[in-house]
Amino acid sequence: MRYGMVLDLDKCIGCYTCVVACKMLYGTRPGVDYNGVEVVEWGEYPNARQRFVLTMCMHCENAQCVSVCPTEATYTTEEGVVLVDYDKCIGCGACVTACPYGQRHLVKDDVTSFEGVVLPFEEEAAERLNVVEKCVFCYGRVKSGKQPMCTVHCPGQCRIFGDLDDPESEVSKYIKENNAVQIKGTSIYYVLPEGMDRSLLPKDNVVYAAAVNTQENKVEESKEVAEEKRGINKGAVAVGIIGAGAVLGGAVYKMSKDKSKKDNNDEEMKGGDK
Amino acid sequence: MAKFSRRTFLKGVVATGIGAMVGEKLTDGMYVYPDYEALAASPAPEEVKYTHCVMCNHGPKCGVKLIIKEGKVYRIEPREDYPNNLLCAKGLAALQELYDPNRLLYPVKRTTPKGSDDPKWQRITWDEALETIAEKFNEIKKKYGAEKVLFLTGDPKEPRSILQRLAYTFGSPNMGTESSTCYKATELSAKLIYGTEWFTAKSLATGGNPSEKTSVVLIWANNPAWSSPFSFKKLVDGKKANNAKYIVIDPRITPTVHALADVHLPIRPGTDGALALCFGNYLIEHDAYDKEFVEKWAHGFEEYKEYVKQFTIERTAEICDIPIDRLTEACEILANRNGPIVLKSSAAAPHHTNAVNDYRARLLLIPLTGSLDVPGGCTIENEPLQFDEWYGTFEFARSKDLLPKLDHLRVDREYFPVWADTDQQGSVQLNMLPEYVKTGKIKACLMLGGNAMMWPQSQEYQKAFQDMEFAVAADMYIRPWTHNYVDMVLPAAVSFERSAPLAVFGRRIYLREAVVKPAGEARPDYRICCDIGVALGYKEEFWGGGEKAEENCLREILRTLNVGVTYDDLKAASPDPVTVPMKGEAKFKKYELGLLRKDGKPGFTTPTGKVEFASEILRKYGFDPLPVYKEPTYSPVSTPDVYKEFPLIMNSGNRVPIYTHSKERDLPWLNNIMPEPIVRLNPKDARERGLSDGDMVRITSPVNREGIVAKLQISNIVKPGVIDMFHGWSNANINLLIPRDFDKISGFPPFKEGLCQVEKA
Repeated sequence: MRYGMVLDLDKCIGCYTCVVACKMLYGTRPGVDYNGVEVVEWGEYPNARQRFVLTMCMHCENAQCVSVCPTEATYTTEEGVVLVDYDKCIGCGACVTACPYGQRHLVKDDVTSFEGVVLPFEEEAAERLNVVEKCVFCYGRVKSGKQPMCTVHCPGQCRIFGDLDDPESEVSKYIKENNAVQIKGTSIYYVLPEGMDRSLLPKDNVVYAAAVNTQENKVEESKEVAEEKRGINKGAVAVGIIGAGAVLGGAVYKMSKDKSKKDNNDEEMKGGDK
Repeated sequence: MAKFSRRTFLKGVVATGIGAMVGEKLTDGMYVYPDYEALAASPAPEEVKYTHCVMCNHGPKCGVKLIIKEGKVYRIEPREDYPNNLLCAKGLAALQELYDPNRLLYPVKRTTPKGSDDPKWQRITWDEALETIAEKFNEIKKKYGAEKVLFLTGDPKEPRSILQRLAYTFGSPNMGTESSTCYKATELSAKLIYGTEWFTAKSLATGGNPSEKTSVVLIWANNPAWSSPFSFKKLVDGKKANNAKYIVIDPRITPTVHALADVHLPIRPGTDGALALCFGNYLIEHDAYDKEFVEKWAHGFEEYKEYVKQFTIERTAEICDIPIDRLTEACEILANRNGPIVLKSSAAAPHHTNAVNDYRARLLLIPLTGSLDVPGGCTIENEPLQFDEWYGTFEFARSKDLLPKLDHLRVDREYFPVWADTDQQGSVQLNMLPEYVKTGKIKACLMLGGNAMMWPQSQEYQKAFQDMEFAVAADMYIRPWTHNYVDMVLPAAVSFERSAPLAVFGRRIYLREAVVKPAGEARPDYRICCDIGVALGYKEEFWGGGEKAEENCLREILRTLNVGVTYDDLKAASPDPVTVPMKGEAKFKKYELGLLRKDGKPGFTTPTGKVEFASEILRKYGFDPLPVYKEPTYSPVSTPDVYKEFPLIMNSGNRVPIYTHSKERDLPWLNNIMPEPIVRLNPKDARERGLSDGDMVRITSPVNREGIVAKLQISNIVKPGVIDMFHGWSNANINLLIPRDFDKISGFPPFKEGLCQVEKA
């Protein structure tokens, strides 16, 4: 049993329901989002395209976050789900840096939706501070037979979740029927829309072969690794990409990589009509 | 700051025996991920309650299932077995709105004179509020006449019927709604073509939805991906099922374009009328129209045929700035169709100075192609349940018995006689509010959820409220840009706290029950109206108001609906609906069967009894009867000199999936995604102005050179030479740049045309 998810980017309309559904379930603090939406564009008007790349924890097979964690708070379940034991996490942040996708969030700011008030959905999260949080593939829900919250609430039904090891599962069939692309080394697949370049998706997480090249340890480099090392560009860079950023927030608000910047920008983001 | 003991809390959850509901333990001592069905530390039982969502425009009424413990709402889930149940981010954010500590929870009155920067709101009791309102309204009634009091609603469509009942009982015919700027021009256009009978016009106003037999779909000025996410999947799945060709007409490259368009026509805003007439001409020239229908049922066809000749493909490609190969392809698709077509348009489509004619030109393609009330075409509802505009009844709203007697006192007839004379539902055109107040025709108002930003030159409307002798608003929040100009604000209950009106889907009627008691002293709109009615002296007509107000209203609505369904029937069935069976069978081509006219004769309720390509009503009122094309009042073609100074085409009111109009900016889940006003430009236009993504820019227009400031986003989905701006931001209100050049027939404002300039701020 290996849990995985396919994200159908051909269907995604960038409505952010998945982001909010997850926040509603977990009561994550302002500034902490387990999943995100990146806007990408290519081409020129009237033939341009704007699409949405959904980002989240990739639940990697050989997760860097697991290997750097000094307290073994971060671990992988037998189904391949990467979780955090909040009781063991000491908030050192090593995993945050180690994650190639910027999908781990060290919760340092004791803030809630509205200042001074803890709403029902955030009662549980408000008790946690100085630990790392992230997408957990809705592990608790899934173990009791439900689907992840993002999957349930997507109005376009763009997410399919299930057992990748079962060829008859919905997710396996969907991947096959739609020629979904796997982000290698992870549990996430994408259906790539027509015209979207593969390089706009998150990178593969392939662990490099050891640099040590002794008689005993000589390791066969994988073809991909070898090519990377030789600097072969695996995916042509699409012309006219607009930088990642929330489609609706322009350059101000980035939902994935710049974690440190985001904490400082909390004040700015409260914005609105005040 | 309080110390948090996260560890203590979580272990407590497991220890008190909720373990059964918690997820599987992995190994001893490891943190257990709960199922999140039981979030609170207390073992209180969980409750599930059902209602519907109103976070967009009260239209879809998407089903909501709420998980509640000890009276606290923890989570929203989709509602099972319900017509619309794919909630969007806005719907989920209703949880934050419910508990927003910034909500207005008690009545307030201003203590500084109008015109002051700060009203210095003072809390008052409901008794004082109601007494004051009654005193002021009755005073005005006595001195000047009841019709001097205006009753209006903004976003809240739900209380329209009870507000009408209040207005007409009081003696004023002047009840108006936000539909002065939305939807109603589509309905008026349909009335002018098919007749003033409301149920027919209502069915056909924004076109229809494609079905299996549809062969061509014209998605025109509609982007359901962002305006109604709940409906988009169905639309996309429908395309796979029906093999139809989809033509999407939009200046932007939206998700609707990439998901559905076989041909995308990237049109210059404001020129849709020309495009529609071009389609008409092509169909006629190629003998690809329904000759039989036209011969039997069309009035004014020869005039129309003659007029549209000038809209050749070449000329139209130039007017509309559409690549000629794409326009040709679209025309060929229409002409080579092998079945009916569907027009799928929007309430926002008529935001133009030539609104009704532009829109009529589009609507006429339906009868022209033989797509009227046939399978796969645009259909008219069979045996519609006789609800009024928003699930009251004409009897309940008293538009049936009282409004005709008050009709001569309508405030809008002088300006928009076509609107006033074809309106049976009862709703005055509000866009001349500044003039109504200046000429003393309106001296006071009750406004439910209204917003001065709704109108072009919003400052004139702010002044109108300010100049009234007495203005009272009801809202969920204090909104300074509107409430600074009124005397009193009443606290309105949010959706989960309300139980009126009903949720109706075709023949299915759902009861909607309040999920939680209103916070603070907030009251549902239905109750507010009844309480005011009682205070004005009409105790019986409003059943004494009070906590049972909503139930009393619902009982009366159902009684007057007269289909043998009572409130108790609905309550017994809840959360399931009661379905009202049809008397006969669903029929097509109802115009042939005499089912559209009260006298039972075949035909339509137009003056000629036919589908009017040339409108006799318009001719009577001195307008051109044909849907003539006119350039926007400000455009590169009509005002080339102004264009030199303002070389960008205005286009505002685009939708984003996380906000509706000016709502929801305060909700952190949504505000986090779009915290500030954004204007979009094509990279070419940005380059020409030396602008970069993220720059603060000033947008100006011929009627507002001071302009507004917003953040720039550069995007390839925007047409070069056109801006793309979202409205509803009080700190960058695009409507300040729009002139009050209203469509002469419907009074609609030109939000989607005009000229402007953008430069670095």
